[in-house]
Amino acid sequence: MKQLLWVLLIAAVFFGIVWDRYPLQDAQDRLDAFPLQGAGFRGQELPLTEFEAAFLENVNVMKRYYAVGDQQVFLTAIDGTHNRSAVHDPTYCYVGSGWHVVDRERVIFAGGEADKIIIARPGQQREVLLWFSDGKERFASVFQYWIRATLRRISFGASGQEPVRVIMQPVGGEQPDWKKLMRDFVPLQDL
Amino acid sequence: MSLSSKLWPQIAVCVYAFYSCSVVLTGTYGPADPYGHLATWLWLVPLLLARRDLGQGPMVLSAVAVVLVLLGRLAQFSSIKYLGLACSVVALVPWTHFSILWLGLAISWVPAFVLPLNWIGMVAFVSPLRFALAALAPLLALGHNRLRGARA
Repeated sequence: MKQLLWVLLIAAVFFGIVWDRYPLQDAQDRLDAFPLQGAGFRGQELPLTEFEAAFLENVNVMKRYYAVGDQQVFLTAIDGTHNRSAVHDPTYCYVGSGWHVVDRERVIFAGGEADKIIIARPGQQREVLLWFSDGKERFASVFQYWIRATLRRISFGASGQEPVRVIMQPVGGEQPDWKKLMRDFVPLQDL
Repeated sequence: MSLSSKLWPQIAVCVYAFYSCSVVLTGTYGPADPYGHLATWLWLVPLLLARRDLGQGPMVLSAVAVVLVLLGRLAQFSSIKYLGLACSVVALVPWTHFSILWLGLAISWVPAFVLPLNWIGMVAFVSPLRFALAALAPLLALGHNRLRGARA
């Protein structure tokens, strides 16, 4: 049994090294292709905070400000191909930053669904829209993300594109008209 | 402390598991839970209490640990890796009723422990709950050792 354990361990280490070197295609191309400006919207790149940079190590991140018509939002897209653990329920981070979750509901929009979360802290209340997108489908379920991401890794990427986590939140205290925003911000459907 | 030859491959499995899960010893768990990894150290204390019995644990559990860690790495599903890590540690000491409890208490240092608490709005309690559960491991180990000593 002792020899078998050694063999199993050496095989696992070897297989893990080989697997780690297999280049699973990430979603960087999709993030790079997302336009900074276009018909009815213009954006601006935003730097990551020190904490975000540390927490999102080995993660492709797009963090931008956008003005879409008369509405302004922060848009963050996180591609966890090389660090899937970095893609998690963001309400956890909000709670850690002093917010509490007031309400959470699933909303349907053109081309998919999202979770609308209302967070609050003394004197402030905000709505945040969250979903996952693989470039073709948009879905809100974290479990669906886990299953898709796991299948993709086990199948060497054959099961489809990597879903990215998309987070959209308003700038300042104004609550956006999400339906109008999702309708007018057309490139979101290809992210 | 006598080291049986069986211990070395089991220690190697532990090293492999810890290497694959280093965040649970040194990492940042998140803004609501910055010291979560300290629960891991607390959970490991029963190893010290059982130092004379090291290397007498079930090798099958070490093999299961290798498979779980590898699966967790391949699928990038950390909780599977953490289960493998817990198995690799528990496999170092003889299998008893305490082993089952010890394995179960590993939930205390799993980073994802915060998620169900977050869903039910109790994320503020994550650190006290982590440490309370992790502290049960050495306490139960002490109780278990005394019981065994009394029986002997």
